[in-house]
Order: sequence, then C-alpha cells, then structure tokens
Amino acid sequence: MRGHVLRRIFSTDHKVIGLQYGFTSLFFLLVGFSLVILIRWQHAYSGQAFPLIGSLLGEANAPGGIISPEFYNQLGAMHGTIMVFLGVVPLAFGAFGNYIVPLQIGAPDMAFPRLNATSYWLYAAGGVVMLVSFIVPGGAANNGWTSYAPLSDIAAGHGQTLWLAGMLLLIFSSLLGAINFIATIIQLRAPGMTWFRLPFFVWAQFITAFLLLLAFPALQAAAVLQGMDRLAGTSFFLPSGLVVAGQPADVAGGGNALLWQHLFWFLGHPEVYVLILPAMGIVAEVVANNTRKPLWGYRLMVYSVFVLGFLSFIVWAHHMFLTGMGTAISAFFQATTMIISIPSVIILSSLILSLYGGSIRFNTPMLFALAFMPMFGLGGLTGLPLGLSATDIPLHDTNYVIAHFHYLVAPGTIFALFAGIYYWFPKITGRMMNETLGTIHFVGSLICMNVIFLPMFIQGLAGVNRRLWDGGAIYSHAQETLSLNIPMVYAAFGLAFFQLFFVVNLLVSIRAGRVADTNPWKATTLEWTATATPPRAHGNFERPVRVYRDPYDYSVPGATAGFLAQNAE
Amino acid sequence: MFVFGALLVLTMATVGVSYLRLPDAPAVVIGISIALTKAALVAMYFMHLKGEKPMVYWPLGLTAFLFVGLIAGLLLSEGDHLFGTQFGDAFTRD
Amino acid sequence: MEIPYTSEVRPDTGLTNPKLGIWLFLASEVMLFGSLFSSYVLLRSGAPTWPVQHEVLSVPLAALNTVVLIASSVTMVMAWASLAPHTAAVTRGDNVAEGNALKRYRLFMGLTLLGGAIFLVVKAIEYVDKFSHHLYPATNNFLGLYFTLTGLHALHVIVGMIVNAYLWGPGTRMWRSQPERFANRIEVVGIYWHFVDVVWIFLFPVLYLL
Repeated sequence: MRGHVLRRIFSTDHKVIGLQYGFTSLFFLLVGFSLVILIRWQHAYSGQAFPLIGSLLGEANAPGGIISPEFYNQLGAMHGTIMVFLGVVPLAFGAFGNYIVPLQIGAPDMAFPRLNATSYWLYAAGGVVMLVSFIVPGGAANNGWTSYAPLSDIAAGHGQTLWLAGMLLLIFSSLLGAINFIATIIQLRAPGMTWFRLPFFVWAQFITAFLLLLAFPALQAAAVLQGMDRLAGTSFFLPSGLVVAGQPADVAGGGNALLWQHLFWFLGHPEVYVLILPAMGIVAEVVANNTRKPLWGYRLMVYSVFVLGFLSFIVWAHHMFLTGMGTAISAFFQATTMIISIPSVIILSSLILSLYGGSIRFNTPMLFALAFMPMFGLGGLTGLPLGLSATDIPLHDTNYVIAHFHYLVAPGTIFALFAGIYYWFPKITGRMMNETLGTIHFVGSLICMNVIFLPMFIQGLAGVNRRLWDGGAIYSHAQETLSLNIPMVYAAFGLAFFQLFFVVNLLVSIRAGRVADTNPWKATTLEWTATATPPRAHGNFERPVRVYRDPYDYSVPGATAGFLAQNAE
Repeated sequence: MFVFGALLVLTMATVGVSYLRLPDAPAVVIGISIALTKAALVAMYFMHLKGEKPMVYWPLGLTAFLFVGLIAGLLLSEGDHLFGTQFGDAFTRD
Repeated sequence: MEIPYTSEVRPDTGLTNPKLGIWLFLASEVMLFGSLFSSYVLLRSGAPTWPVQHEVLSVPLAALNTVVLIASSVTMVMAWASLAPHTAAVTRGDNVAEGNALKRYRLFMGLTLLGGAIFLVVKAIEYVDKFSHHLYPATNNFLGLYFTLTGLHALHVIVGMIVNAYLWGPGTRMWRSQPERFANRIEVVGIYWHFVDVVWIFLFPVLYLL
C-alpha cells in the first residue's frame, strides 16, 4: 500500500506529472491573486484596514489590519514572482506541455520520464522555499520581481536570499524540463509525424523550451553572483562609494548594478515569450477545432514563431532605456523591438483570419480563445510606445507598463489557459465541464479584467508610478485618475468571485460532469485518438500510431463526421 | 593520443606566453586563441563533435550566437569606458 | 514500457535521446558560464585598478591542474573506448570479452576519478592558501570572481565525479544486461566530463594568466 502511494506520488508518467504541475500551479495562481487583492485594496483605500481578514495578516505585516509599506513591498515582489514563475509558466509549459505534447506527437511518454519527475519536484521545492520566505524574520523578498541591485543586494533579512535559492531550484527545474521537451519533440514523433504535420501547439512548446533552455542560465548566473554578494560579502553589483542610510557601505566596491539588470532581462524578455507562446498554441488548437477548418497560414505561423523565438533574445535592453545607454545601442534595441512585433502580428492575424469562413461553435473554450485575440492585440499595441526609447521615457515604471503586460498575461495567457482547461478536460477525465458555469466564468472574468486594467493605462499616462504604497496619492497632477482605484478594487473582488464558478465547475465535473466519448469536440489531433482517459501506466495508444495527415483536416468533403484524424488512412 | 600531445603543447605555450608579459590587447587575443584551439580539439575529438549530426550543430550554433550576443550587448551598453563614449552621448548630438 | 531511441539511433536524426539530451544540457551550461565570463569582462574592464592576477594566484599549481584535468579527459575517452567495440560480443554472450572490457574500463574510469580527485585537492590547497593570507571573496572583485567561477566549476567537477563513481561501481551491472546502452551512458557522461575540462581550459588563462 505504501509502495503504491509512493509510486503514485513520484510517478514518472507524463500525464500524472502534468496533473501534478496543473494542480500545484493553480494553487499558486490563487496565492498570487490573493496577494494582489491586498495591493488593490491598499491603493483604493490607503491606510484603511483590509476588511474581514485584515487582522489575520499579522501585526508585523499589517498592524491593525492596515497593510504596512514594508509588507506592501513583499506583496508586490511575491505577486509577480509567484504568478510568473510558480503559476503561469508551470501551468502553460509544465502542465499542458507535459500532458498534451507526447499525446499530440504519438509518443508513449517524454524522452526522459525520471528527469520529468525530478523537474516537478524541483519546482515544488522552489515553491515551498518561496512560501517559507513569508514567515522568516524580515519577511519575503521585497525588491520587486525584478530584484534590482543594489537594493536587493543589501536588503535586510533572509527573504531575498530565499528568493534567490527558490529561483535556482525553479530554474534548474525548467532547464531539465526544456531538455526533455526538445528531445521528446525531436526524437519521439510517431512515424509519419513530419515537422509540418505537428499541431501548432507542439511548435509553440518547442520554441518555448528553447527560450527556457538558453535564457534561464543568465538569471542562474546572476542569482549566484547576488548570492555571493549577500552571503560572502562580494560586491559584484555594488559600485564603489555606495552609501546606505548615511553610512558608506563596508564592501570592496567596484561592482556594476546594471550588470544585474542585463543578466536579469536577458532572461526576462524571453521569459515573457515563454508566457505567451503556449497560450498562442492553445488558442490555435481551439480555434481550428471550433471553426471546423484548418488554421489560416499554418506554415507562416510556424516560421513566425521561429523568428519570434530568435528575436526575443536580442531585445532585452528595451527594459533599460532609462539607464543611460548610448544612442547607438539604444537604436539597436529599439529596432529589434519594433521588428519583433511583426511575427507577433502575423500569428495574431492568422488566428483572426482563421475565423473567416469558419463554421464557428461558441462553446466555453472558444469564448476564451476568441476573447484572447482582441485582448492580446490591445496588450501588444500598447507595447509599441514602450519599445521606442523616446516615448518610453514618460511611461517607464508607470501603471501604463503594468496595464500593458497584464493585458497580455491576464485576459491574454490566462484566458488561453482557461480555454485549454475547458477544452482538454474531457480528454483527461472523460467528462465535460458545465457550459453554463463556463459562460458565466467567462463573461464575469472578461468584464472584471478590463475594469481592473484599462484604467491603469490612464493612470500611467497621467504619470502615476508603479509600486507605490499609497497608489500615487502624492501626485497632485494625477488626482482624478486615482479615484479609478476604487472601481478597480471592486472589480478585483468581482474577478475573485467569478473564479468560484470555475473552481466549482472543475471540481464537481471531475465526478459528476456529463460523460464524454473519446473525441467529444470531433478534433483531428492525435491526443483525441487515445483512449477516453489515457491509462496511468505508460503507453498512451492502444495501437501503434502512424500519421498520414496534416493537423487540421476539418470539413473534408466525404469524411464522416466532417473531419479526418491525423492517423486516418 | 595526438590530441593529448597537442593539448599539452598548447598548455605549455599558453603558460610560456604569459611569462612574456605582453600588453593587454595582444595578451588577451593570444591567450583566448590558444584556449579556443584547445577547446576545439577537446570538443571535436574527445566529445566526438566532428562528424556529429545537424540536430546537434544547430542548437550549439544558436548557443554560440547568443553567447556572443550577450557579451556584445552587455559591453556595448555598459562599456563606455572601453569605447570612449560618455554618458552625455545619450542626450546630446546625433 | 520502452521509450524509443533510448539506445537505438533514430534514423532521420541519427541520434539517441541521451546524446541529444546531453548536448542540450551543455548548451545551457555554455550560457551559464558564458554569463559569468561576460560579467568578468565587464567588471574587469570597468575597474580602475585590477590585481596582477598571476601574482595573487599560483600559476604552477593551476598549470598542473590543467594538465591533470586534460589527462583525465584522455582516460575518460579510453574508458569509453574500452567498452564500445565490444558491445556486440557481450550481447552475443561472450563472457571473456565482457570481463576483459570491464577490467580495462574500470582501470581508465578509475584513473579519471583519480584525476578529478587530484584536481579538487589542488584546488582545496589553493583555497586554503588564499584564506590563510586573508584573501577572501569579499576582498575585491577579482577574488570574488575567482572564487565564484572556480567554485562553480569545482561543483560541476564534484557532480561529475559522483556520477562517474556510480558508473564505476554499482552502475556496471548494466554492462552485463544492456552493454550498448551502458557504453552509450559512458559516452554521454564523458561528453559532460570533457565539457568540465573545456570550461577549465578557459578559466585557466582568464583567471591566472591574463
């Protein structure tokens, strides 16, 4: 009995590991969301106690239930860290990637199953370290998710050091995962599954894996260097003559604070493409399936995602336009940043054009996929002024930036992830999720997200800086925009409320959802030819897989049920 | 074994050259060149990279490009002391 | 349940999974050490003064270590070469070939482990020598980089030695049951070990000579 439980917990089956990633990441998304609700409240009603549970936050963090500035900084840093590294990426890459990719390429499992399990447990360990950092003296890291030096170097307490340790664990987990994905996609495609028969979802995960593999080590290096600064007294990021709180810092000096920024953003920029690429992959699958026609411009999309991945490595300093770099190098990064919008637009346009002439089914996954398009479009367009140095000057570090990237990640990526959950739920459980609850979840989330993030553009344009404890109360020129914080916090409560529909739907449908057959969405890709809920033991397919067709052979004249699966002869 | 011999010779060479106490620029060029040669020998012959498959060459090529890109981006952005440019450049002229 | 292409080569790529995997891992390692080298270049070039490296560190000891590590790479190649030509014979059931190959392999892998151990001992001597002269990572950025870079490298040596030791000892069971897969393992582990050697080939001139 005990051996059986241990084998389940430390399973090397990609489907079990995918679910482990899935549940863990959904938990962390909830944690990250809870942190930011506190921030929203503090902005709307600065200095007022958080209702109901304020007193539970602890006297150190929130005396009298009022969020202290120090705790606020922890909330900000950890909200970003948890959402990006513990929530979205593990869900998009670890959960969806692990579960679906081997099935879609016709493989029995990932190339390195034990490495896969190791990746998950490293991630879980990193998550534990991050959570533990909240309760050590001094609290969690409080230097932004970007941990800029020299502040992060000298920050008191163990929170920042634990952040570094947690990041090293998470990075190692991602690196091993990336190796696994790349090797699996290259080596374990079923006979007949040529490169241009791969579902776009697999291509997206493939490029994502390369981004993780080659960009994360820079942050590993930076974390090691900062760890040495914090623990061994080195000054890699501490310049000479640094004065802290009126006292000259007792370090050798000679370091370069901007070195941290370069190393961080060398990862940081590809990281945001790691956030969006799996989402584009999911939307592509859902759109093709629910328009009953092939994707428009599939090959173009594949070439675009290659170019996008490659370019993402050479735009990073557009996060650093205000650090005093020379005009020539600034022009280089502006140019690459502008150019990178091209493949993004090509992919978005292809998805939109895929709708034209389609026989559209408006089920819950499709609703989320449809909303993804304008939301991602708005997020992307608002990035353009940020990518040009001159227009970035007034906008850098304002709420405008926050609105820009949240549009891409929240009604962008997270909507795509919801689409994926509703879409692949019947494959995983053999049951359907409830459509009514799904529609309510969708409409409520869409409205609330826009009420939360749209005003931030206005605030940012008025000059309101990000990461301010009082939400910008000191800006006399931006006072009218600050009143927007009040509807924003109620929309945040609303967003939390509408997630209940999702959580209840998910948990109840596992046991009591309408039973589904092997292929309820009448889809063409290989995962739907596996048994209704692929068996826990290795070996996903009843018969050896052989692929004969392109990924989206929908509405083929003469085909029964209006589509041909990839392995149909 | 030839490779071992070559590596030993190159190691002695690089130590020997260092005793010449050349000025910075040539010293760096020579030192890194010798190191690159030794590394290439180890990679080609010990790691069997010579005659390896394209599926290995492409990721490694991309990696090499990105490494150069990182160093270049870093030095060009922060290397005013190397290239003689000044902070003022960011806001004047051009 | 067998994962395809773990030991056999996939025809269109010409690779086994572990061979591809180790090169992908090394690509990330190149970016890791590359980031650290980039940091070294930036910090050194931007520093108004920099210690004369070969006066702070011992070039003879490091040159010895360089030779030792290169030699251990050679013995690693020979360890693999002891096994690879004989996998077919072992599969056929030739116990004599199996025994002889295993003996030669054990000899060379043992020498590789010895080389790694000598390297680490010399490194330890160097470190202790620095500490006894009150030279610590915090003393200046050169020493900080020296300890960090060589420390991280030494960590990679240790991990490599742990894996090599396992494959010298308990891991050899696989030689009898799946000789080709075992030989492939030695090749893959060898590639990692050679990479550790390559990193040192760059660390030596950069930290000691220039």
